[in-house]
Amino acid sequence: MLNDEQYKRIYDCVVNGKAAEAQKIGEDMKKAGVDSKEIGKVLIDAMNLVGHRYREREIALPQLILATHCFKKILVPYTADAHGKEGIVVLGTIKNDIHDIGKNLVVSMLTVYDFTVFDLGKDVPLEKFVSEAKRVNANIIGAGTLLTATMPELQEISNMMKEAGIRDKVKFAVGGAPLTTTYAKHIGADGYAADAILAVEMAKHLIKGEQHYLSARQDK
Amino acid sequence: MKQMTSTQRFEAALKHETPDMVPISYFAGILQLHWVKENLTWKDTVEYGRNGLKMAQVTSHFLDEVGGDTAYVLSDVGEIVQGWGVRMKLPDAPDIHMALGKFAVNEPGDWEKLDVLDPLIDGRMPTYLDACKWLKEKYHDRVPIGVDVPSAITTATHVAPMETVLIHMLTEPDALKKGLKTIAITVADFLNACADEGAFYSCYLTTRASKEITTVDQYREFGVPWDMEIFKKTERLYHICHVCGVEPMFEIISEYSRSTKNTKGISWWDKGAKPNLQEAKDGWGKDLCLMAGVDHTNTLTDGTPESIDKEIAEACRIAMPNSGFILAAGCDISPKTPKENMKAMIKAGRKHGKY
Repeated sequence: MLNDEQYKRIYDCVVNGKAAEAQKIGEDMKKAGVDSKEIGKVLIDAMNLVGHRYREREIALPQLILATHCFKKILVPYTADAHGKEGIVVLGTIKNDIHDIGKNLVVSMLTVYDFTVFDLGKDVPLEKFVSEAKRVNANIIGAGTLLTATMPELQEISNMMKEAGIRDKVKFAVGGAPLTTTYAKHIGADGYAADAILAVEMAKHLIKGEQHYLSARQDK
Repeated sequence: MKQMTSTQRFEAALKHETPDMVPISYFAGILQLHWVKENLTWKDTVEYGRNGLKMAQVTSHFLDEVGGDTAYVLSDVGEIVQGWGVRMKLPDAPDIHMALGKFAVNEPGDWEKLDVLDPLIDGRMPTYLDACKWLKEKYHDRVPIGVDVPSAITTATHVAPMETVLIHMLTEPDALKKGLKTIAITVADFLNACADEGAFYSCYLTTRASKEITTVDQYREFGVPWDMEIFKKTERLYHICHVCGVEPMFEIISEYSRSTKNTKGISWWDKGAKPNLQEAKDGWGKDLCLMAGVDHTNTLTDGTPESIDKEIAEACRIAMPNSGFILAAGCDISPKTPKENMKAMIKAGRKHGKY
């Protein structure tokens, strides 16, 4: 069980971007027997604040990335032996786009919440999402892009899933800064999440069998 | 009104003088390749990036067939940074530009190791200059030659992973600024070399000047000083600042317009970003020539000639008054865009864009 001091130490590290201390904090927590879910809750609290500040434009990507960096480092001692019982997600940034900050955050969050994540990285050929999903028997394909120019490519993944005969078995979720629930509906995605925290919620709902889960922030 | 050349039309719009009709421009990199060659292979994509004549021929073929008012040479963002040892990754498929692979800067100390590059020798800059020269020889002064050059901070995110650059803004600002200084000199030299070969304007890629990426204060610290230095060193070219993001910093780009001789326009995704075209016209239309009007994410890819016509009619209604409008898509046009839709864009622009 986390005590107040441990909570504050984790929270402060993420909110204030204290990257040099992050991994040590994770190691200390593991040694103290703190469960990964408890760490995850603090990280979510911290990222909620960072995310709120980001959405309010009090901070921008540099601070968000540094917070994410701390977030990931704190989890390093835990993610190494994660079991991934909640479901299998294949995730990547689509071809012609090298932006992967948001994607990396989603990978970390899903891992903490016990999903098995196959991270395809960035600039991923569309067919690889489908072939990898088939190979690992995934529950969800998640594809993202930051670029408006590559947004139309997302729909192609859904088409490829149909051609490969997995569209009915595997959910298709999308994300990325320029996307909206409207756009996600337009391209026939089953899931959309506006940020990494909502992505966990979305993945859980889709795994439970909900047909669609489009999860925008209230202010979007 | 007497018919203008494309160059006269384009310059009039930038200077808020009345052109004979709204100039039309577009970013259409890989789409141009698809237009030239059926059954494109990844080798064609690579050859485009390595051969100035091919780059120019693809641009001119597209312009001659589709129409429009600019010969815009679209880069794959690697031509400068390869000079610093950034490695390009070959495309996996024909409709992908070469992507950045291995980066030159990984540690803070790497920034000061960058040397100023020579655009006539280093990277693939000579290839790009060849394309400008060839296009100038073909079009003379009739059509403005446009070049696609990233700002200093955008270039920094091609020299190092973007995540690294953004973290260095907070943790290693002095080291990053040493790199930006070298990069800015190189970018300015490259732009001047483009002007020597006939370029008329740059689409200056201020892609990080968007509030979901940096705060205005961060951009003032890490973007503005070097943008200003580059604009002042390259006064032979007009600059149109292109912002890919969804919250472009119009306040900063309009300051550029007021405080430099040659930075006159902004290009952004008006259908998805804030502000939209009407808001931009109302708020910044006096300072900035607005380059926008048709949605490359939806209307051009999935629309019909009728829906394109309707969207462009509305854009012209909003943005034509008092000039300062170039009809364009908000970013690179998808290779999946049907040919008839590209032609419909030009047709609608000519139909609704008469002054």
